[in-house]
Amino acid sequence: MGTGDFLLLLSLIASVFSAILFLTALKNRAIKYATIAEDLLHASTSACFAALMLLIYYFLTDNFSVWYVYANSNLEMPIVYKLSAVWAGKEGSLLLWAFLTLLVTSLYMSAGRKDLMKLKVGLIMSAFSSYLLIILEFYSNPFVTIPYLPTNGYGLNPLLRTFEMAIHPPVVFLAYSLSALLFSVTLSQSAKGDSASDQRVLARLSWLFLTLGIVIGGWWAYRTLGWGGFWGWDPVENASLLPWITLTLYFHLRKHRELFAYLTFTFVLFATFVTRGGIISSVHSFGSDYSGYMYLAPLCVSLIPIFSRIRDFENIKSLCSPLIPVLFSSAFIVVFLGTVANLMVSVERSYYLITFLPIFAMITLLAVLNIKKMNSTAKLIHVGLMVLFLGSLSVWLFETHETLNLGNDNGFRLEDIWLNEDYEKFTVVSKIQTPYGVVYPEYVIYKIEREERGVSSVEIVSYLWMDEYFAITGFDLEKRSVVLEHYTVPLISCVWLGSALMVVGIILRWSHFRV
Amino acid sequence: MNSKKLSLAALLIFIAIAIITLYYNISPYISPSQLLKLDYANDIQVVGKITDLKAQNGMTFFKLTDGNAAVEVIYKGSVQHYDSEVVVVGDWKDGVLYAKEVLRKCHTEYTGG
Repeated sequence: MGTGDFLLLLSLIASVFSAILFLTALKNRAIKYATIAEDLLHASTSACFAALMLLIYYFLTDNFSVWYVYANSNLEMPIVYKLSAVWAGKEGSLLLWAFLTLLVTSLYMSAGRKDLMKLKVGLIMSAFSSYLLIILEFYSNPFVTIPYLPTNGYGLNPLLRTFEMAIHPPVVFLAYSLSALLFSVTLSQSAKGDSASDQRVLARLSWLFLTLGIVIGGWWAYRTLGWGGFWGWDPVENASLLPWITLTLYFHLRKHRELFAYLTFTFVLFATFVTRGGIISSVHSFGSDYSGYMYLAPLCVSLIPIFSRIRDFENIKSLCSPLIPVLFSSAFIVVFLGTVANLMVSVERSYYLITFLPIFAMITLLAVLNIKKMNSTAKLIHVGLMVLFLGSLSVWLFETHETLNLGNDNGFRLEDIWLNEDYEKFTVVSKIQTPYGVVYPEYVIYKIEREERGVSSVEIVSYLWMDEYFAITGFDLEKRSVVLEHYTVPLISCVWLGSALMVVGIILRWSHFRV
Repeated sequence: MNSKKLSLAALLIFIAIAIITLYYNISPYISPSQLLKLDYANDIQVVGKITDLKAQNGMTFFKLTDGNAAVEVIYKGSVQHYDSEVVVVGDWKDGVLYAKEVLRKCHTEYTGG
């Protein structure tokens, strides 16, 4: 057994025993068990952290005898990408998630008053962490070795060689871990109905990181994928939107908001299942590993508190308009139906435009009508929403696209095309005269064994009201021609500005603690 | 009718609209063998593997196969010789699939959950 395996196993054992002792402490009301349980939890967190550090060390030292390092890295890669490659694949990102879950639990358990409610949280969270560690150790292990030392790695997918991809996964998984903690805390407190301040802080933190994660993902897609949009209605994107919708509705409820804290965690698990499930043949199915189905078990468990309180759905009360729960539920159902259908057939974009856009518009209208009643930070968040709506509407409906075979098109001229080479990659650089100035879109081909080794680098000429967006998708060096994708993306700046306002708004809300 | 029932009714009506809209906005993935049985089709999505890849004048010519049958594909843009399956979106006429998009089993593996 290697060191990595040993650390994972250590973390798993500590976490399982911690769960058992939390349960014993709860049953016997015995403080001594609780103390040991908490220590074991911290031990589990430390072992998991050590495992993560070890994996990072393997990446930085190019230890290709570890299969996961081989599959996601190569010698020539800059250090920052070697670091982000740690969570570029399924196994490493699960390790990161397990660690973050343990970390937020450890932090939560050590802070503040230690009462009965905390024991319950400890029990649920250590049980959930144990489950993640079981998947990690037995079904999705990043420390599997190959019996020889390859001279070089298979290489990181070129699409992931961006700064955004170094921060997007940690942010998303932090949000996922926080939503698990929110679930546990809400469940433990709801029986007694005592102070809800923990829940509020956790809900806001989850919302902040979930929002940030989605926005960074959209930003990455826009700058990297070359299809001129920030949102593709892809099942993975949709799946991340579902917990966001339920959590956003949570903040708008006065009564029975706990239902939506539970649902948020359920749909975090659903998102994990969709992403890792490898279900059905589509562009979005990933590999032949079925460890994704393992997430269905906690998903079903998380439904128990929802079904046991299902009658409470009748009595939910909104903070402001009674239309809000209806609109959010509709938005949720639209995205959910589309996502599930998309697992089997392809769903056209027009479906979302016909169904989602009107709901989005009505939600925005409600925000406009109610904005006078809000305090300053809520105003900021809702102004963010309005700006985001304006941007999305404009991008989704008015974006234009043309594919140009350069040489004969009016206003566009291929001035030059050349090939650069360095130790890591070939870069085809084209110099193109456009009505918006000269742009230099590139096509980069990495010298790696991986099947996908090319990526076009997007060139964007930004104006306040629109982006002129260029990517080359084909080229012929001998004939000196390129295929250029040109998008005119109106008001995309509003998408970023609106999102930024929402994020700033929720951060500022901490200084405006309301009861 | 009280507001609770009204809300429920609105939600149900909305779900019905969503399902109907969805029904008219989906298209199944088909295989090259199934495609060969059709005379003409617009905006279809064909799943298969790439063989016999040739590039000429910025155009790409290849065959898409499911192991049993293969169809000719013409695409304006470049395609790499992927080993895994791809989805070709395009129009089918006169025995040729005119591709608008060639999608890889893609990057989404890495985002989120």
